[in-house]
Amino acid sequence: MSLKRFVLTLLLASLWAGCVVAADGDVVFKREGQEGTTPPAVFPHWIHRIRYRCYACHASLFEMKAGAVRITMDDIMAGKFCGVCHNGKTAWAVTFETCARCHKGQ
Amino acid sequence: MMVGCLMVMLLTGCQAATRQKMLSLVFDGATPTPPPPTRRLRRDLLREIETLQEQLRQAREESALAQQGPARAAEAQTPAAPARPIEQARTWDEAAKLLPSSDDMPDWVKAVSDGVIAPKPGLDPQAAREPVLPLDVELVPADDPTYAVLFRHEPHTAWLSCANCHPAIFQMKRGADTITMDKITEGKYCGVCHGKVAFSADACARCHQAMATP
Ligand code: HEC
Ligand code: HEC
Ligand code: HEC
Ligand code: HEC
Ligand code: HEC
Ligand code: HEC
Repeated sequence: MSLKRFVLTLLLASLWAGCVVAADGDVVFKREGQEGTTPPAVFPHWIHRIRYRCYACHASLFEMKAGAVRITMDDIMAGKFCGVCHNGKTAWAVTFETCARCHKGQ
Repeated sequence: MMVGCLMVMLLTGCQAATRQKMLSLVFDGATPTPPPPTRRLRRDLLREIETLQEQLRQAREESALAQQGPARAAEAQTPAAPARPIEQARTWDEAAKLLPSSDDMPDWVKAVSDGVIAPKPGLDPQAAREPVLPLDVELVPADDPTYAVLFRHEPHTAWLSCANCHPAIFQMKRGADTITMDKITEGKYCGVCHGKVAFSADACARCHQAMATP
């Protein structure tokens, strides 16, 4: 493959990625079926990397694959997934004031 | 000595001004003065106590290591500054300003070695780090050896455990997988992380040492 084509692919790929990913390193959750009115949650990897190594979360809490597991608010409130930390002790809790901190997707 | 100082800090920790004084006594370039306590919430104070307790624990660990020998102590000294300013950042933009960068991206390896961040190995404060593996594997494309890559396990195992890569992404056998740039930009092999969470595949020279500008 020529280098030119490769660079072009890269450019296109980054343009395309720009539409889907909110910021570098973020995971935008896709919700199938019941989109409803709450925008999808966005997980900012880089904010979490400041405090935790990858193996703090992978693979005990999350798979290294976006959308591998379906996460619901019930799970989170029951202390699973994000709720392992976002419980008011390790990090700020889920309250009506914090919905928008996680639900930032379009 | 350190442990003693931290104890005192823990006791006087609620007084922002006192704490600042204590911190600058012990460490150069301690954090800027936080907002006055009256404006802070109980939650913030509780969190601060937790942070100080964590620092105390780290200091204890370090002094225990120091007794074991200077080499190991040096290794454990990376999380130098207490109350890392970056953990006080309110937004990503604020945090990004404090991180070292290379190729216009945060340099996470340097951030750890400079002590700007000290990411925890787990939720449990007692959680131990995974062992770091000093194994280098040379990956040489058959048709173009100038694009050889020296894959270093060391910086990877500082962040990742073996099971994050083996066997789902790579087999534990040199040359067992045919890795190409196309597959990487499609998000396979190195591209599972590079370009998503780790530095992007545009930074050619960080992987292809021969492409580094002298
Ligand atoms: C605080 C927890 C946390 C930490 C720390 C963390 N991750 Fe993740 N990671 C997640 C979550 C949550 C997802 C999304 C999982 C899902 O959708 O089921 C994810 C997804 C991923 C994905 C898949 C992305 C995609 O687009 O398919 C990769 C790759 C990944 N992480 C790598 C890393 C690496 C490398 C590190 C360390 C530098 C890291 N993660 C640190 C929580 C974390
Ligand atoms: C291992 C613990 C841990 C897990 C798991 C975790 N977080 Fe966090 N998260 C934190 C910590 C600690 C902070 C920083 C809190 C602070 O600044 O006070 C944070 C901060 C955030 C922020 C930044 C908010 C802001 O102010 O900009 C968002 C958004 C967030 N988390 C979303 C999530 C989502 C979504 C999940 C699940 C997919 C998740 N987190 C899982 C520990 C965790
Ligand atoms: C710590 C981050 C976080 C906070 C805070 C949070 N959510 Fe979520 N929420 C998620 C994640 C992650 C998912 C799964 C991905 C998705 O569907 O967007 C989710 C899913 C959802 C869903 C769809 C799935 C379901 O359970 O029905 C709804 C609706 C929802 N959240 C509403 C809310 C509301 C309302 C609030 C505020 C009270 C809130 N969320 C606060 C992270 C969060
Ligand atoms: C994350 C590390 C990484 C980055 C960044 C990276 N490469 Fe590669 N590259 C590899 C690996 C691994 C191989 C395969 C080595 C082997 O044969 O096993 C490879 C192979 C190649 C090859 C050999 C033929 C092919 O297509 O597989 C070329 C040419 C190449 N890279 C060019 C580039 C250029 C140009 C850039 C910058 C735009 C770049 N690489 C960035 C890791 C990287
Ligand atoms: C970031 C991903 C990653 C992590 C984490 C990782 N490895 Fe590897 N490992 C690789 C790659 C890439 C290769 C080369 C595979 C190839 O050539 O196809 C490799 C190869 C190996 C080999 C074969 C070397 C040879 O000369 O044949 C061994 C043994 C190995 N790894 C052990 C480990 C152990 C033990 C750990 C945990 C301490 C670990 N790896 C963590 C990516 C990783
Ligand atoms: C599971 C995730 C993952 C995979 C797969 C992975 N890396 Fe990395 N790599 C990281 C993380 C995390 C870092 C730390 C730096 C960062 O995040 O930007 C890193 C850092 C590096 C560095 C910089 C080391 C330094 O000392 O500055 C190089 C070079 C590198 N990786 C090459 C590779 C190559 C080549 C492959 C494929 C053979 C690969 N990586 C596969 C996650 C990964």
